[in-house]
Amino acid sequence: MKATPAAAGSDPAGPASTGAWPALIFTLIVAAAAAYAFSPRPAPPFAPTAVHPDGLLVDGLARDGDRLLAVGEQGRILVADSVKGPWHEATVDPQRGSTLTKVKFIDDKLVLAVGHDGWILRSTDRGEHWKEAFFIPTPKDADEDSPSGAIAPPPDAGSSAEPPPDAGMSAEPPPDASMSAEPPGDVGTSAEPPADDGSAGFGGDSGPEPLQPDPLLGIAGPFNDRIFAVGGFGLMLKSDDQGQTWQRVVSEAVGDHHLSAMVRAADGALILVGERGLMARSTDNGDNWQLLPQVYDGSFFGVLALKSKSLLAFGMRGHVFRSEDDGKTWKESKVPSGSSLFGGNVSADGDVVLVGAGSTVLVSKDDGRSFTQPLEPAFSDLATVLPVSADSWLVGGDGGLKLVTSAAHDKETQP
Amino acid sequence: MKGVLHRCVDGISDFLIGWRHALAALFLAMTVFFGWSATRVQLDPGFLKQIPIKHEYMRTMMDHIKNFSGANTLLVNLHWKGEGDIYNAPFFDAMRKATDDVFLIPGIDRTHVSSIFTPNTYYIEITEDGFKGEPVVPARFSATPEQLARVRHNVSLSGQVGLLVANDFKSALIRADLQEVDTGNPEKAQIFYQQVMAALGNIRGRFESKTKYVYTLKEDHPPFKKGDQIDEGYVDYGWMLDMQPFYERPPGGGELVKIKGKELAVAKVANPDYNPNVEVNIIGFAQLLADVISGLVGVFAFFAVAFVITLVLLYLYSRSVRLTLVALVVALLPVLWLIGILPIIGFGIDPMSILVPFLIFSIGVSHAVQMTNAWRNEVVQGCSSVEASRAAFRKLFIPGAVALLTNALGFAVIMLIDIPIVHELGITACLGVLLMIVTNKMILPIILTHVRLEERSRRNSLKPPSSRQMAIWNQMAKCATPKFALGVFAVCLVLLAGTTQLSRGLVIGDSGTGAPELRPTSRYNHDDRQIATTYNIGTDVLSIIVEAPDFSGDSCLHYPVMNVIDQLELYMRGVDGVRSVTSVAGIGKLVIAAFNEGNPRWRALPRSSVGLSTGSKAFDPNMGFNTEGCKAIQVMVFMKNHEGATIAHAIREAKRFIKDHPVPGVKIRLASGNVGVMAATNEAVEAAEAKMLLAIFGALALLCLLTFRSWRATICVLVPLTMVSIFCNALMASMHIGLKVATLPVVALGVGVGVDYGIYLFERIQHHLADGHSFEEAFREAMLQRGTAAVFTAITMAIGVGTWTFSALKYQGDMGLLLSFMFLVNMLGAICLLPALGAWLFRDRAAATAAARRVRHG
Repeated sequence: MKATPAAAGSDPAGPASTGAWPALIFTLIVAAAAAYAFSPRPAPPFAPTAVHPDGLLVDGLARDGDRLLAVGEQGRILVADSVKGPWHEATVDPQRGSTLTKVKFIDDKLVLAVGHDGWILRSTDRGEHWKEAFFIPTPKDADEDSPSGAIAPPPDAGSSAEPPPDAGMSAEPPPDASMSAEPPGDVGTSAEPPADDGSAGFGGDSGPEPLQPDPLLGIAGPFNDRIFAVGGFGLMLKSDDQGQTWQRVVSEAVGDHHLSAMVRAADGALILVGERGLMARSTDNGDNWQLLPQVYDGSFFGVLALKSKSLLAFGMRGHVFRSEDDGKTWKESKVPSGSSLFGGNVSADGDVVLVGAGSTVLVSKDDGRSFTQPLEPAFSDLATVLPVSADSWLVGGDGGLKLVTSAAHDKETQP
Repeated sequence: MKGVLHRCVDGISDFLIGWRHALAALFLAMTVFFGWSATRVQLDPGFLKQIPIKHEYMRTMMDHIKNFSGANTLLVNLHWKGEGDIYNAPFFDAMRKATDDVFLIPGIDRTHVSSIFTPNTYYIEITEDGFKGEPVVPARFSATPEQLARVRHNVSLSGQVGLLVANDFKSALIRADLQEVDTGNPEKAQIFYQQVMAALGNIRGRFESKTKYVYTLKEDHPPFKKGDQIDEGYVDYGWMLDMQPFYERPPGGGELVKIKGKELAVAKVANPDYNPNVEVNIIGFAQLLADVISGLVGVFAFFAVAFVITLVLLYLYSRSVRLTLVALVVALLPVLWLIGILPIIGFGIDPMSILVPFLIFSIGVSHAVQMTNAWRNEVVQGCSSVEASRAAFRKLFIPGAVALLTNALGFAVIMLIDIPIVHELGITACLGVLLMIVTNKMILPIILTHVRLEERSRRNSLKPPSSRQMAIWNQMAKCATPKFALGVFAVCLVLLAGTTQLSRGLVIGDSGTGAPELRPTSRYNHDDRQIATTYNIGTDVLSIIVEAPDFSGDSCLHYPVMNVIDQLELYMRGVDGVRSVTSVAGIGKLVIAAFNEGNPRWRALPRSSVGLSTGSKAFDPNMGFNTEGCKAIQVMVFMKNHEGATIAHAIREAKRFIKDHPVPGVKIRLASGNVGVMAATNEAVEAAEAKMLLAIFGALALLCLLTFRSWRATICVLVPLTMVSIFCNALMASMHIGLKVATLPVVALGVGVGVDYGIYLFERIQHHLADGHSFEEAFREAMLQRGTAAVFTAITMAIGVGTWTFSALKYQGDMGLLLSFMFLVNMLGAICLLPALGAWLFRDRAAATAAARRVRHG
């Protein structure tokens, strides 16, 4: 084989010959196409991250006209104008992150929501924007929640748009410190040993303890322009100015029972129900309370005033009681379920619906005397319900919001 | 310098031929040695090899692999196909036995096995007097109707519906974690996985197989005696039994004794546990591995098919039995040497590197064809075998070695993907190609010195090319005229526009659900769908690790820690593509609510340690969500699928959360779980793609410049390759093949191998140009000499790798399809586009040379 003459294999120096331009242009186009083809490819679009109606623990629902409000974990509030959605999140300022338990329209503009840590939120635009009306900060040792070692202290509360909910809290009084609430308890209180069954409070018999960051579980009113918020360990608050300021109500009769709900009977008396069979009645618009004879030793989670002016209290393990004498005496209703009932409502035509553990939905067409169970039980726990039609309900619970229908009960649709 | 190189080649060829007997003896000895060594090669699967171990996410995973099992989870699902739901005695009997069997799988983490039969699965019942929690299945359970009703009740209270019991109450699940042993040692890892796979096969067979197989020794195998029962099982190994090793511990204890399947006699007895109403679904890495390995067995069949097809093609091409056999043997040599070297350098065969021998064989055949072709041409022209060998060596050593070096380069750049299994693939393939320089370029000429060409073949070669063949080549050569070249450009531009647009649709990562290694119709993916559709848990888990090491006492009792986890949980639930999220915060709230009569309104995190301690049952390390003292906590995000884009979105959103929620002393780290692994792999692949392409094209450009000393030649060779790379991406996008560990190397391999055609062809063209021919003439001459070989080679190689398309393993199928495509289309590029480019780039040159010649002659 001949050696290749060196000269033949090498290019003449200098720029490309003019005659080669089609090939050079083609080369450039290929190079450009390759650069484009292999440049980072755009990601396909995804729905923006938001709280989904089926991904939020919903403890409270309220309706006024078409406006629907759902409140739940971490202080989140969802707003919709149809039971089918779409739901969007309301703005809450400041967002404490405490779980909300109930929401209630006071009139067609004013809405109140209550939750853990004695948190009360107020909205005057049908639930789009919320401001804090009350909050009980947790007393704590200054560095209890800080990691040990040389780690920087928590960032200043003002330094980020959304400070950690408890940043700088012990130095900050509740916004409405004007009312009769005592200042936050001292460090010693929270150092008490934990109560294993959760039911034993801080309570002593000698007068009211300082306010503890206990949860509010119910809201009621307005009863003669007075609104009530009730909750764990006997916490009861009242407001006579449309929920702007709140005052503590202390009742010997109630003690440190968890309070679930309050309702006004036809004769104007207020009925309060709560833990371990608690039923109390007040004839002076909530200033003084008298215990009613105990009809049940389990807890009540709610009480309803029915269209017929009867009252209906419901609670643990399928226990439902009905009163036709404004709460003085109670008679147990027939219930086909042993599940605890956490929420209830009355439809426009007087049907009663109760919801509870194991996706229990109970319906009464006879004014709460007896109930049927139109839906198969399922896994999730329901806390709250709004009747939509005679056989469909918007329910809220640990599975979020669901529109359930008895006609085709296996077809649950997400709102 | 080029003269030096050629003198060098001449020197080597003289040495080679002069010392051919001694060298033959040496090579024979090496072959025998490697052949012996090859028998020791091990299958080396192993989970850790397949992940980009240095990636940030994987470092997180490795830091916590002792606490959280990472991604090596096993799910065994028993599905009741009969009437009614699972609450019947036969099902519970099967479930109990299956749970017991899972406990006995070697390497299983026994503290983390859970099913409705394990004591860590309890229910909580709330009563007026407080609540009670007890195991879902009572200790003395005998499947009476009352007890079954009791269990049904307990299950509904346990919160396990959708987790351990299917939503439709037709199946129940056993969940377990496998602790991988000693991954650094392939032999131990192999034994380990073989035992696990055998155990899994037997769990399935116990309920699905009508027959039970009892294995006894045919002959003594100390310390066991003839007739000893070694094992019993439910898997029909069939003819595979001989290859199936059994491991048995001697009666007195001690090391496991390996007993080969062929030492055993099999007795078939009826299986008392067989139940036609029970279907067993098993998913998890170990089962996947078992299925992948059984899929690999098919690969050997493809090897055989490819071998036979190659044999036939070779014979048709050369019409010489001797040359055909020589070419095949020489193509097999580097495969044998390579397999022999693997155990020496501590490598094993894994599901990916098993493809290397195919590739090496295919490339080996193509180079052997070039060499035997050149040799035959010399012999036909009247040389002796020895002289023909020497001449063939001299002609082909440089282009052959350059082509092989570029192949090696193609394999080497895939090592830019920072994943051990790809590294091994790269090293193995590189080694194989380099070995080929010895076997093809040195052993083949030596063997050829001893071959006498058959008369028939000689006559066949002497026949002038048929008129049809000539017509084809003439037609092809027209591409090398400027006018036709413009037409070629136009066609190419149209193709380019379409494919470039298509290629933008290429996705990174896998598409769809199920195991991407296997086809959607495979048993594994059937099982995966069965579990994914009836439970709330997916099998695609992204695990986010929260580290809080410096808090006093239990970190879970500090509100800032728990609160950020709770917020992360709610946030991730709102991310598109996320199915559900589980963590200590959510479970803690559930427990706290349980302490408050089950009331969902109490499902919130108290802000004090005292309050949080109510939920402390949720922080039990045995539940697998946190370590002792909550120093590390995992938030498990179950994804709807593991498509690359979905994963990337979830990771992006998680990173956004971490950035927006700084908590002093708390470090939130991504990511573990199988989706964490995929995220890391996808990111590694994405990062490697551009780097790899730039590296291979840069290196090829350099090599071409060095070899041809001409930027025009470099353009002629590289532009077609670039176009074909775009075509390949477009093909992947339109066939929904994602860019991943298995497919990323394809472009590099395809380019590295595809450049051969261009190099072999251009080497000839350059010779003819140097002799003063026009480019068109030079190209026609080159095609006459090497075109047939190039086309033949492309077809053989495409068929060789094309057989993979039928593999049970999806990624092998994808690789086979894409590589076949690359090989064929690169060949077309070399014989159509290369001349078109050359026609314009060398137009002036040819004219100038012709003019010069005229001047000289004139």
